[in-house]
Amino acid sequence: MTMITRNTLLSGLAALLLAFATPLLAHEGEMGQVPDDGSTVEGTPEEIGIHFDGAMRITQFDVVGPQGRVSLEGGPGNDPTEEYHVRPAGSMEAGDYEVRWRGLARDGHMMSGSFRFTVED
Amino acid sequence: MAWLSALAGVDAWMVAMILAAAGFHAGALLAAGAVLFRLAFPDLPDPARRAASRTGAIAAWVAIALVLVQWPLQAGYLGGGNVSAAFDPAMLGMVFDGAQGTRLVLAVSGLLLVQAILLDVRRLPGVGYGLSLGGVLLVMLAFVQVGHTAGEPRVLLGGLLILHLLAAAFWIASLWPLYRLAGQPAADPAAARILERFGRVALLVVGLLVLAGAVLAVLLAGGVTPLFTTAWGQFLLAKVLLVALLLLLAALNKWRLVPAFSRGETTAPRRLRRSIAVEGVLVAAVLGMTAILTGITSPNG
Repeated sequence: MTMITRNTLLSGLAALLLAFATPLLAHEGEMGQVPDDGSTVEGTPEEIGIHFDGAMRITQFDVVGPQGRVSLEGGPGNDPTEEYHVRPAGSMEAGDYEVRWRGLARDGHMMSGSFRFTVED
Repeated sequence: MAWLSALAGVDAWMVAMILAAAGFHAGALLAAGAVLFRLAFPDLPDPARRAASRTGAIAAWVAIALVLVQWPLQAGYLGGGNVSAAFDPAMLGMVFDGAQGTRLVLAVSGLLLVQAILLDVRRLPGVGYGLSLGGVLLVMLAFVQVGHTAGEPRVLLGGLLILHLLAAAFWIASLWPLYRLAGQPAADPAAARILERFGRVALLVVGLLVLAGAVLAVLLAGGVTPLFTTAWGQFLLAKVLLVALLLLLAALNKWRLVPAFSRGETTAPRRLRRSIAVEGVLVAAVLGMTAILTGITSPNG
């Protein structure tokens, strides 16, 4: 291999790396939570949820607080969705809550996440 | 440290998924690599040829069993990590319905076809190799169905991963037949010739493996900094360290131990075998690290 050919190849490789020097997002990312992660809300929140920048099949969505798992209603099921929101079935006691979710992204990646919020009287 | 936080979230179910993934990767690469090794070295002595083919076939069946085990493990994970979700028809259907299902079908059909290399094809020369090469292609396609390499630009990312995997498969599958060859008395001409030729082929193969892996890593991470700051990057660096150790051993084999074997030094076969065995242990560690890397972390941070 001549020096010129080698330099051309190396320049091409460097150009290729620079062209893609931003993260390539193959699957949906978590864009936000309701209530916001780490926030404090007064009284029972009207809804609890997450949104993504692409369709995601949520397969598990648990809200756990001082009294254990919170009963939820109004969930959209396992259909692919960008907005997943549920309502607490009853009032929520004051305390710290953690939301844990799992889902299947379009590219087959299994994803999971969690966030926390605090309920005040 | 980002990698420690990532490990803190791992439960028993995820450990089972990581082990199944590592086993599947090992089996599928060994099976595909056995075909490539046989093709690259058609003049292998009988025992080494049989060792390569038999290992490939056993590895294919192990990989088939593990990819089938991965299906309920994935369904169970999606349901919160429990046995009832693992056998819930709706959850199993959801997993099969998407990219994971395509991966499963491609992997199983590829691994069945790969075993055509075991056929005695004296009457139909080339048919066994043709079928098994088709199997290798299907297995490689299975690997690019799921994950970040399935994103855009898909042809570039998938192509790089396939190149990386083909080189890794060839290397992994060569270890056992080379270990057998190194057991021959030192200076055995057939064994020495193949060991020396392997050293030359391996230079190209390892170059491809490292180049494709490095470009892929930078493309997926979006630069060099995330390799140090994210859990994915840190696990990847650990993998790179293990691969660097492997390369050192490979260099030792090529430039010290194989020449000693060819010169007929009496301790050479034992030292070469020991070095290849350590390579095998390191390969297992690399595969384990890859399963952790792809199973519990993501280049997105």
